[in-house]
Amino acid sequence: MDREAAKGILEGILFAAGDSVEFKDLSKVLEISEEELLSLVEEMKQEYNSQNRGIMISRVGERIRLTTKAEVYPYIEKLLKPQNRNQLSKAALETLAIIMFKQPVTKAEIESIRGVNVEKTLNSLMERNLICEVGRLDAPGRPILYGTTQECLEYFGLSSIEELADIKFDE
Amino acid sequence: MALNVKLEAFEGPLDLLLHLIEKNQINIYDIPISELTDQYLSYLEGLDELDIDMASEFLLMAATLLSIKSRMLLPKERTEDAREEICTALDKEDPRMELVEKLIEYKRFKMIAEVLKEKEEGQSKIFKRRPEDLPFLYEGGISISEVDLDDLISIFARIIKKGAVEEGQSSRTILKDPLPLRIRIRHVYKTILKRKKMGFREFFKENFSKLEIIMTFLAILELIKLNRIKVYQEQSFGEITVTLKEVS
Repeated sequence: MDREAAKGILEGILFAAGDSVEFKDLSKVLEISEEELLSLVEEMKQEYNSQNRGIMISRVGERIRLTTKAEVYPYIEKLLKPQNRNQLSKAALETLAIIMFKQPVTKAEIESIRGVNVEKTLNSLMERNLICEVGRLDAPGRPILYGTTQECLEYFGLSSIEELADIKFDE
Repeated sequence: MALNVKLEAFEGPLDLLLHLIEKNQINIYDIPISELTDQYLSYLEGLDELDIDMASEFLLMAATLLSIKSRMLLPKERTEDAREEICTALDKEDPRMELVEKLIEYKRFKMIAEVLKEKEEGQSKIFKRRPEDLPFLYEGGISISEVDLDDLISIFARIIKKGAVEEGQSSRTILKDPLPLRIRIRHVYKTILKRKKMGFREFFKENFSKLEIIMTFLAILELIKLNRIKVYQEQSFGEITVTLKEVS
């Protein structure tokens, strides 16, 4: 298939879907390999980057999504007056950071890193569908193992968790 | 409570320790444990009231700090044999080590959390479309093309036959709904329109049949849904009051 035509189709699919769409579904529909798909996506990203576009495409986990650009936000805000989304607390963010890098992880492990009880925090993260139970540890009491969800990647707009792993900290 | 306000500023004892370390510009790998313990304890003492639930984690850390401090004070073992001395020195690691490792690990996650905060902020500024409603595109469970006319005829015949048998066994009468909800709603709404405000119980007359009670209740629910009336209760088990909503 002609690359330009494929890009157009991709754009149309992403628009109709609204939600993010899986690579493997897209490559199946377009009848191209995932590598080709990713290179198309890269090209499209570049094209959307130009200033005369108000939308962009980005990768979240194994999915691609079409969203507005942050630069448009002030204008959307004026037009629609969106309510502020409930932001996560410091405790929730720290807990989530630990789960991201230690998953699958038990509550006890998270608590030993944070030094505080995380029961409530875990519940609220579960409610927001940012984490989920991924199994049980084969140990006394069979404690629940937690992991992050696709929703979590989308919430932070991460293409992968590894993206965060490079954070360096000064001592 | 003063304590809650103060402690909640920190996400637990490790957070407080990191704060003290940063404030005093201490090298995390060489913590003056005695000084830090003093500061930590004086911080806890500064709290007016100790809520055990909240403070137990902070107290546990205080105990850990004191334990490290006391271990640091113990004289190092000296042996005649130099080789043995080296071995024991390797064996006995710095009592602060475990805490330092914990602090560093915690600090790392704290920084990741800060990056996540920024990402969250950024994401709240972008929007995606609500997914299009496309159920007509999904393949349903039945594929008509696999059914031919003969199938349809035989199925139809079977249904008719089955129906005939059942009819023969007993005839059923379908009653006309004696109390249509529509009419009940209108009735209830008229009552409340006249009185503006009334007790929930007043809607139900004593001689009401079961069906009438149910229909009246349904009518009230429907009116709440339609946003025509407001229902509230001052206290549990108290009288429920129904008021008319002003329609603008």
